Amino acid sequence: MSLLINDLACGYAKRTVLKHINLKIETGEVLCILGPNGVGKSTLFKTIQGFLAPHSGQILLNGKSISKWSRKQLAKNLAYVPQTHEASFPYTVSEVVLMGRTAHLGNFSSPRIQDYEICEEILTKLKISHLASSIYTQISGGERQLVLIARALAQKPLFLMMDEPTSNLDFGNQVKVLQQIVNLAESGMGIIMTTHFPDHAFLCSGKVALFKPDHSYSFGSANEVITEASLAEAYGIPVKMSQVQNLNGENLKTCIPMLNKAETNAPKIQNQLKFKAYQSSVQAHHIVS
Amino acid sequence: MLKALCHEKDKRNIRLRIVLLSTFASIVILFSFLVGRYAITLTQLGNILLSSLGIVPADLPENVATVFYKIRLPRIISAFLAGGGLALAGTVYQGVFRNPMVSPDILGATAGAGLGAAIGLLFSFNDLQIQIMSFVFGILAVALTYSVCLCVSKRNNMVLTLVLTGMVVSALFQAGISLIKFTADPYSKLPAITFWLMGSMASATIKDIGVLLMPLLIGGIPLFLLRWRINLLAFSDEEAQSMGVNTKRLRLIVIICSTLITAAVVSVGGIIGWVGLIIPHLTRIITGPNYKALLPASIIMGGTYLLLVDDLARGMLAMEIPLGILTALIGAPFFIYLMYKGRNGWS
Repeated sequence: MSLLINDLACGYAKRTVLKHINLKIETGEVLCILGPNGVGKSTLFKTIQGFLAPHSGQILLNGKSISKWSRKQLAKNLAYVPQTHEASFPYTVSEVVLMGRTAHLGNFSSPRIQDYEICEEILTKLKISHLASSIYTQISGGERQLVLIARALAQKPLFLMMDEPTSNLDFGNQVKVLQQIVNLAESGMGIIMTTHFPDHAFLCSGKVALFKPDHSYSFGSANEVITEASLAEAYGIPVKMSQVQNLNGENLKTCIPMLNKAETNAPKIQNQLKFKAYQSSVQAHHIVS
Repeated sequence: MLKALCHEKDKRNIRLRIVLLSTFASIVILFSFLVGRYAITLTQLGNILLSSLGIVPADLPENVATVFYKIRLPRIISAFLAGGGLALAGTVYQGVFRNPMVSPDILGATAGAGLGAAIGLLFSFNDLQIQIMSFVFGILAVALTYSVCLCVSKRNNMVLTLVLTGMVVSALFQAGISLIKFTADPYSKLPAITFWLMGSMASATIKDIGVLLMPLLIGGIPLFLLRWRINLLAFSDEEAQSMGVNTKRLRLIVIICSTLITAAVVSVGGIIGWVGLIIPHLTRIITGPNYKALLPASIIMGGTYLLLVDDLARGMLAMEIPLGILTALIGAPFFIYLMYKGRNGWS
């Protein structure tokens, strides 16, 4: 099963942000959307989910255009994991996850026993069943991100849209979330995520759409698309690539941004000069008095 | 197995709490029959209840029966319905506007209904006409708020725009009320309008119960059926939509239903503040934020609370105290207490 974005142009009422976008993702794949702030990643995300109407072009799920689908129909195929946030009311974790079942319920019904079972299963799979009766507003950011993933999985979707799933998380939690993403892809889910870390694309060994400041993009496997040259062009900074061996003995690429030595040293030298000048003036003052 | 238990436990827990609340409500209702200028004794009350069930023959002075059926009973039912309705409207509004500071008057229903009644009183309409005026104006005010919001808002930030527009429309209708008061005859009309606006259940009759009950059912039943989905509005619109909810439609339904209820309550009981603000909080502490339990519980709590306040209004002093004054006197400090005690009701 596949999600196909066909010559899509999207943006806001009076402004087209992205044009001629062609992307394709199969279930079981991870697509990372990379690019500088303000390039239109969120716009693309919102358009795929139907929050913004496409200006032209199509989004096809299994060959069918989704633009006329009802919210309910869409929710059964495409789930959304927002960035971690605060909720206004103190729901328990299991209540939050149960809300993901809403698309499968009648308009006037509440979750039934099967829905409880599905949620319990998902919580166990994500190893957060101990949180089930905790208050959603009181758990940590990393836990909250996993709960939001659980809620999206409760929709039993084909594709998962994740908006910077690792932002605001510490190093360990970032990796835990990435691990879950890879596990989900292996179990046959298609995942589309925005991220600010090119390394995450290598870790997930997925496809990449790298957007550049002029709104053009390159699309392909992480190894093809992410290069020193393309990152420099997209983000306007010098980047070096390196390779390490992962736990399976395979080569894993990583990119390291470079700071300009001359620039970083310049203020330091100036300060030293100033300090020396100050010292000599103090000495001169002493001599005079 | 474990899962099944969890589901059952949830259900039993909710049921237990609602049964407890209902028991308390029943006690308060019975107690309310004994409060008032004309004394009804406990024995007489027992006789009325048992004889109405056909267990014992009726054995009462005629006055007691008149007070019971013509005065106390309509008033108790009206007060309970009004309180339950206001609490229900406040509870769903707080979820829909994702804000624990919201009360049923946020979109202008109360101010609108107030103006309608003021106009009715100014032109010496009869009671039913005044109620209809009030009801219609309450709905008109909210319709105005909603349409202005649709014109002004930019697609995505409807919640905030609605609240702001609601404040503007409320202010407009308040100005209208002031204008009516200013032009009203200061010896007859002005006191009538002022007293009406302070809220009271003193003149409640059997007819009022009908006026209250119809909109309460028409507005309440959809809210009751949709109560699981209202939970999802606590998250951002985009999240709720991605989970399969048509947020715009759901919000409109909730607003229409709550407006029917609020306008009906104001048209019968005048402006009774604070019930729709503090009862949702209090109920959330007892049941948690899930509307599955919160919604029915808030109706019972709101009804019980307003009934108790109404008992105070007619039993505390020789003269009736307007309800709006008492609900504010009790509600405001209580709200501060809730805020001080810890923000259990919201995040």
